[in-house]
Amino acid sequence: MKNNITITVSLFGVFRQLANKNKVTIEIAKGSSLSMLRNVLREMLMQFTSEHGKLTILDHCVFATEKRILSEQELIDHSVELAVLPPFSGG
Amino acid sequence: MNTIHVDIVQTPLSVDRAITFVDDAAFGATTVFIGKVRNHNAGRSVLGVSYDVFTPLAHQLLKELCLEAQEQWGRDLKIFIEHYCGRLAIGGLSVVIAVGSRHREEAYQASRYLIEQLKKRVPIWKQEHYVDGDSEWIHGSACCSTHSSVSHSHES
Repeated sequence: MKNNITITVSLFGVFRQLANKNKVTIEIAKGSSLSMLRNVLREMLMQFTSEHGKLTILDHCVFATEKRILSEQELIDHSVELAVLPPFSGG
Repeated sequence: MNTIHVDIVQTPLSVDRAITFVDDAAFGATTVFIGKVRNHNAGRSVLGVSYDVFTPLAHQLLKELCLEAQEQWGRDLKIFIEHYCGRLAIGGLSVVIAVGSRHREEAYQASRYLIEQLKKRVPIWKQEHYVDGDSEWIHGSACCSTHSSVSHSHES
């Protein structure tokens, strides 16, 4: 559709394992919120795993570019590569 | 003069390299924090830990942490941070943070600040591998203020 944009989402940690993929590609409407992107991503990941309970961690995730973590209020108005980041546990 | 070194590496971490980087004839103090894999967590016997990292953003954020530490405890601080990416066995080094400074107080405080902020703000994840064959991704710190913690971390 003309008003749709393409978001490539890199997966890390538990999501990479559940989907058995490093990235997924999502088509959503231009101007979508990160909450909307999260819901579409959840539906897509449900197709790749039977462990749907583990996807509740999406509610605690943020989205980021290679340079910064996005504010939850930001809207996506162009095709872009993002990463979905589960809560951190480094150290 | 380069006073900050940060990296994500897939080769064994070197404490000697960290100490060498922060050494300076004008400094009287060096602190080194070493995070390593222990053999238990939350009542389970651990065989090893795998680390996953969003490397470009991790680099960016580690540099920001170092600049914040220099802003707070002295622009002449020398700081070295390396974090491992990949699988480690028990005793393997996951993170090395070294700080060089004129006096011990700044080095101690900056070192503590850097490891605490790294755990909260840098996109790194660990998966514990247990003796019983099971594995689990650990979700320790919230990614941002609006997101809450959901499980205990394998604290260093």
